Amino acid sequence: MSERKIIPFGPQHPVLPEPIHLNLVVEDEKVVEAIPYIGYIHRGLEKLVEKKDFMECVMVAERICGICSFIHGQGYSQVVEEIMGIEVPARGRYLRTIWAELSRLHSHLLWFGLFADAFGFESLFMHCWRLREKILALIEETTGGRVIFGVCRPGGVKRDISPETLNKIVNVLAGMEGELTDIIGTFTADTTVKTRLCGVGVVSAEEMVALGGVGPTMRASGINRDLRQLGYAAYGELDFKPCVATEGDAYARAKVRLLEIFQSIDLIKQAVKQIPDGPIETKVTGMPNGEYFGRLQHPPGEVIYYLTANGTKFSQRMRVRTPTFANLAVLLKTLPGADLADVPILVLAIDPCVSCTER
Amino acid sequence: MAWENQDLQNIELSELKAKVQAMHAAKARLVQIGATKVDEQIEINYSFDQDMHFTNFRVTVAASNPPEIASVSSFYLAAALYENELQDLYGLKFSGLVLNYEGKFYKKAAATPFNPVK
Repeated sequence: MSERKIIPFGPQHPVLPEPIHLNLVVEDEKVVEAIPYIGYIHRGLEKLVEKKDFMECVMVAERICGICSFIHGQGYSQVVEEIMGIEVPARGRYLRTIWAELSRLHSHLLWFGLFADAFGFESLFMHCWRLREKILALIEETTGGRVIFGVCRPGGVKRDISPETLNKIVNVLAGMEGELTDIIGTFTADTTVKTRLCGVGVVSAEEMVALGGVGPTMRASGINRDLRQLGYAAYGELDFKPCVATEGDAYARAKVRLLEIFQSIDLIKQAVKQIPDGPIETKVTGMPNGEYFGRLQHPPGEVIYYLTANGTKFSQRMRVRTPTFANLAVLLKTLPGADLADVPILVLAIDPCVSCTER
Repeated sequence: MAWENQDLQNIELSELKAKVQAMHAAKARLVQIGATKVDEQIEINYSFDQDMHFTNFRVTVAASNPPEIASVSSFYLAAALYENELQDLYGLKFSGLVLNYEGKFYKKAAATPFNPVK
């Protein structure tokens, strides 16, 4: 009988952009069990809402994540607006939608590059990150920041985008579509990629519901759910259908994200076409008093913002349930039985965002 | 414009397991389990999604010497991670937890940092 050994995976590992630790119990080259250990980068950001003015806390929320920061700020703002009964002007909602989709584009391209690197396709990694730079340049031009946008706040948004810049965004994205098609063609047609990803980490739809998986990880198992279907921001006024795959493996998880890249481009084009003129924010007066669970679609999946406030300028509690925490159970299900060489692929397939998870 | 209508119910600890079992039977998805310390009590929220409808059950327990809570991880495996998180951060205890990391899930400097023992 083979000897069982424990191999520590992380907290520092070449495929991990952020620290998470897994103790992998292996027998020969097969993983038998995976034991997670988290908490390396806890920053106490949820606690800060008890010490900072509720209007300032949007800056805290944006700093929960260094990749999908905008949607954190949007989530916090929308929860405050819901508690206070604030109606955001239509133009503000459309601008939020455009920035949220730019955020998703840069997050998915970043992830796809890292994923390609994990299975040894370095040139694909470089091409993805080269295209991501174009998105970051658009974000910088419209917000002044590349990663921390700083434009969303309760009541609406701080900055407008001129019609010329909106047209420029559409033109840049239209120019990118051809390049993306080439890159994705390489991904979908490459035999080595299929050999590494197809049939790896399969989770059925039924198992996915029990495991509580979210986002593209969940939709790759055939579950047709996306929180943008709730119609928040301007999504209710745009033509939108979730991207779904049915295979439930690592290849399907990548495929769903690749489809979502094109979907985000389409949503931005629709939003630019339909964006109305008018004010971009509503002035916030008074203090929040109440509670609400806000649900939004982050690039890695559903994020929950819970806020409870008692009519003072300091909130009582903010709780953020991030998609990576929800998808951790999926990871722990897929690791036992996997080859040790497939562990980096399975870890990256859930699009782990550890800073978010540890807040 | 309302974001979404939510059903928030305060329930007794003794009702929890039956309520969660009913959600499981109705094929609802467990969205999250989270806790909030309010004064000397801990509110525990069990959130579910069923066809994009959000339902939340809330149980309230004393922060000091909280009673043992029935784990719902036998219905939803995902609950095990949330319950381990509450165990590590708030010092709550769950009976029947199918995957118990016994306080070693989170790396932390204090024993129960979100509910420190006085």
